[in-house]
Amino acid sequence: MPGINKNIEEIKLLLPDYISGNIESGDKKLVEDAFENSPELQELFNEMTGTFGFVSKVKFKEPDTLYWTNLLPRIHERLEKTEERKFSWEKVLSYWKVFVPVTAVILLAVVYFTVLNKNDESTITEKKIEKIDTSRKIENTEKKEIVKDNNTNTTEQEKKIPVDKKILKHYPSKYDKTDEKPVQDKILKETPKQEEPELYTEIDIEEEAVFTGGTAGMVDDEIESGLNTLNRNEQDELLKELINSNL
Amino acid sequence: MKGNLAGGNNDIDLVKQFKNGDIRGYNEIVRKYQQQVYWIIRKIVQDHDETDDITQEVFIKVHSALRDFREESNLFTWLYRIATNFAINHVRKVKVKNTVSIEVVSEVEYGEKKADELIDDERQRKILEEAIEKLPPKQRAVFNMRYYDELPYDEISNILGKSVGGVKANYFHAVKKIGGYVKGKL
Repeated sequence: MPGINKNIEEIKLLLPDYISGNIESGDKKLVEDAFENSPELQELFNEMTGTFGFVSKVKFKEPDTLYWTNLLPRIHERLEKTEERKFSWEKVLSYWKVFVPVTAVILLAVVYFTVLNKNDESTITEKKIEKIDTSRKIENTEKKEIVKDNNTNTTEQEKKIPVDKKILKHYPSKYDKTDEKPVQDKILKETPKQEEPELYTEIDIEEEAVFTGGTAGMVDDEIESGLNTLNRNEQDELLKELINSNL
Repeated sequence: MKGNLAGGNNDIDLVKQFKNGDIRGYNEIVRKYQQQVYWIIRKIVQDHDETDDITQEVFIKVHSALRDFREESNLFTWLYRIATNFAINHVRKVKVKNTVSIEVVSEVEYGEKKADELIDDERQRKILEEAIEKLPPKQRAVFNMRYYDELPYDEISNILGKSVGGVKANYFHAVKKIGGYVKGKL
């Protein structure tokens, strides 16, 4: 029985074609044979025959004849609109033809000017630094000159002091050892007080240069040699003069 | 058009003409097949204005896709497939939008007209339109192709991408549903 039921289900699908007459002869025979044994199939056949009868009577409303003549122009109208809206690579390419070189030039210009400005800024700063350096150098040289002037004053004064000291060194026996200190102190006390230079380091360097290997040393040797040429009486007189001169 | 989708002999020439940049080839194709395309769509969609809109869309699609059309294929089979798919897609969209509203309107309309014993052509047409509108899109297409255009099942299965058995079942259910709806309305 299930085999027959399955067969009926398959035959049911052939019914519409059987009614409309659009069926092969083999299938037509199958349907006609099944009718005898299946009242369900007969009932379905009657229903479908009524349906096809109704559908065949219904006529669709035909459009006007003008509709067919106007359809093509309307399609073209719409085609043009869609073409306008459509994304066009050709348009884009034409834009790119102009856009790419222009942007490239602009970018190059921007890069060039930014680099140029940076160089200018660096040169300006370098120049500023140079200016500052030169102004400092000038200031330093001016200061050095001032210090030199001061030093020359001091060296002139100091020239006299070492002479006294050296004289004392050469002639220690002439004076009492107890008297030596007070004399030196006296000399130092009586020497005019030097104004302290503003730039200590530079002055120190300058002083060192003057006193160690400068012209003062040469003068000392000359003085020494000069003093050595003096006889003892002359030396004593000179000493006395120096002591009395309140230096 | 009944029984097969064989196109005209000069279809290939028209396609070649269009591919060579001559728009007259396309124009000739439109003139030749506009009525057939219109009716394929009309029997699925039912409404004339909607059919008109979809017919234009189909030919716009043909214009853009004709360059890729392989000349060994049948032009009308290709057109038929495009038109059916456009119509089915349209029905699907409309069905999603108007499922409730169509139901309500039809019931009210025919509820009032039940008293009228005379069934004129217009009313019969409306009932059939509604019956077809109740069908799922693919059943509509199958009914149209098999009943009106008398296409063989293998051709329909080729167009819709369904098995022959599936197409036969679709046709059977479409006829049954239409009958059931019409019976209820008459």
